[in-house]
Amino acid sequence: MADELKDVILKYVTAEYLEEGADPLGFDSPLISGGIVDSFSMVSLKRFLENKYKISIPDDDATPEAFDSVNKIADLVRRFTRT
Amino acid sequence: MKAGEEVVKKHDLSSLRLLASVGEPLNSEAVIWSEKVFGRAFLDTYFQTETGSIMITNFPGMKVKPGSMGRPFPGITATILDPKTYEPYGETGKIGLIGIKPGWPAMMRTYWNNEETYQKKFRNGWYMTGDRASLDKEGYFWFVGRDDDIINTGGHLVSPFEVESVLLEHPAIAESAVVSKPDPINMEVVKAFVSLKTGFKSSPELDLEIMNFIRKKLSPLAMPQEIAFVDSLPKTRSGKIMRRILKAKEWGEEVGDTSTLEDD
Repeated sequence: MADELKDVILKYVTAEYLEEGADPLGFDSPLISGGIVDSFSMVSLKRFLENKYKISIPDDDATPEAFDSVNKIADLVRRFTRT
Repeated sequence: MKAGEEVVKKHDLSSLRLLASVGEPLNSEAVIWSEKVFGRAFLDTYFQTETGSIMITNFPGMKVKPGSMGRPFPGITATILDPKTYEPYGETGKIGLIGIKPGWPAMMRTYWNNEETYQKKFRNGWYMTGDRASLDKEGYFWFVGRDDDIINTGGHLVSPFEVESVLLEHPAIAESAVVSKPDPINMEVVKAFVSLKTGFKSSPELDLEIMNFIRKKLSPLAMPQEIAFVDSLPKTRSGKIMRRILKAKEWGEEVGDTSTLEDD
């Protein structure tokens, strides 16, 4: 499950936000601080995760830090799928 | 457009000469649709109660650029003013305030018992309509929005009209209205109200799809941070979308005068 989760997120971020011709992303690539996903687009990424995993991520937890890499996003999703 | 093309096809249109539109600015989608369905473009017009007659328009015989307001009516001098200096911009393509040279015959003479407000409408020798637009190299005006409706999100200006127009390009959307909503970080963010075409149903997937559609076609700034699916939008009896009502609700303000709201 864990790796599958990361794969899904990586694939989505790559398809939706990565510009054509850019270097491929890894699980630890900086997304927000690296300028791949901006703070406005984060809302759509959050929405994707909430739809896909039937969870609700409170705004207070949806920080730029928590969204800064595929690994961090996977941690966040896991936190809310467990509870 | 919501009713589809079939309604039009039932009628003989051979004597139809002109189609003009008043009220809300026309989205390019509507003009393209009318060219396809009626064989003639809707001619958009721009005026106000205050101007008394049409100021900027697509008049018969001129090339129509879908989504443009057209050009000043012959005899009218109109321009785009720098909002800081109230001087006409020396170049095209910049968004500013629509200014019209006073003196046309149908111009208002004052507001009843409110000369002060009347005087405020004039700056540097121009009548200010209170709308923002830009001008292209061929002298066509492009509407951006009512000055009060422009959304300031994190210091960037977003045109509600532009977002509404692109929303209508989405196959599921029949009508759209875009307003600002308060946001703790960005002061204001974009919120969209949409009604769907027959056969489409709202869902979390469609919600996300629409967000991404705007993000890619316009920008992340213009992407609605929230989308409300509604059966219909509040409109005046003449068909203008009453953004004021939608916006007031977002900001927890009084809705104000609704006497012109359509009944149904």
